Amino acid sequence: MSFVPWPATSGVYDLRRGRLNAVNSFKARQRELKARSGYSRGVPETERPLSPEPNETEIDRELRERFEAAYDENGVDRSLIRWCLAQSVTDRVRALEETLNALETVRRLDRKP
Amino acid sequence: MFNFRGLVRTLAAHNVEFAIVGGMAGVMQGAPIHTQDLDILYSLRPPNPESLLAALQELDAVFWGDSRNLKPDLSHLQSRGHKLIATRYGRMDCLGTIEDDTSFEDIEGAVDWMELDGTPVRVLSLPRLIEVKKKLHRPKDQLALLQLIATLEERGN
Repeated sequence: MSFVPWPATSGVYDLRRGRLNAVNSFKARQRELKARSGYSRGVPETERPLSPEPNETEIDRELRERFEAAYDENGVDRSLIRWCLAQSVTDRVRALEETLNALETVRRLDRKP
Repeated sequence: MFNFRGLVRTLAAHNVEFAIVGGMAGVMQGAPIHTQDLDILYSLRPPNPESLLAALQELDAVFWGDSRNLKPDLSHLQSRGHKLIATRYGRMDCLGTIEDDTSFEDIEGAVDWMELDGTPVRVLSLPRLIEVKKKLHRPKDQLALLQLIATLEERGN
């Protein structure tokens, strides 16, 4: 799998490019998941381990193993839950607000000609 | 502009008796759930609907999706149904009851007091929230249910 770095600099161009990369990466992963069985209504029923790529580097291997270890048999990202639980209640809500407001900004940018 | 903390602060400033339920309760309990509104279950006992109305007026509230920008009034807030409200801080669903006919008073024993930005607030407990979600059959509720159950397990409850 490939990891999409967040744009290094701010600005409309980078924001859009980062979003495009993220969308392409997401679509590629959806295709990969769909190619395997156990896929229903757009939601992976079970996250099976990703097969190692032929030319996998040490870093790629570590990332892949961490990725696989994060998910349980239902496809729930346990590492994300642990991260949320490590935050204060206020920080959990703040993180959600920031995500929603960032998405709203992207939507607004998309609407502009 | 989403400002859920601002919504809660305003409700508390008007002494509204309410509990946070729904997706936001899950977020506050530690589940990585995505939700775009604040669901509150409020007490229908006077003078709470009046207090809620005062808070909603301060928040420039109108009924969500209503092209006439209809503002909620006291009679709306005295009813047991769901009021979907748009405010200047984001969407808020004001619920007189949840499930079949569960009121604010009915769930008082199943809430956790949490502090949000220094404001104490009632939040539906995680086990009770899971019970509520189990009765809902929309795909998004079923997905959230997996997250909530996993969160409960991670918390070691």
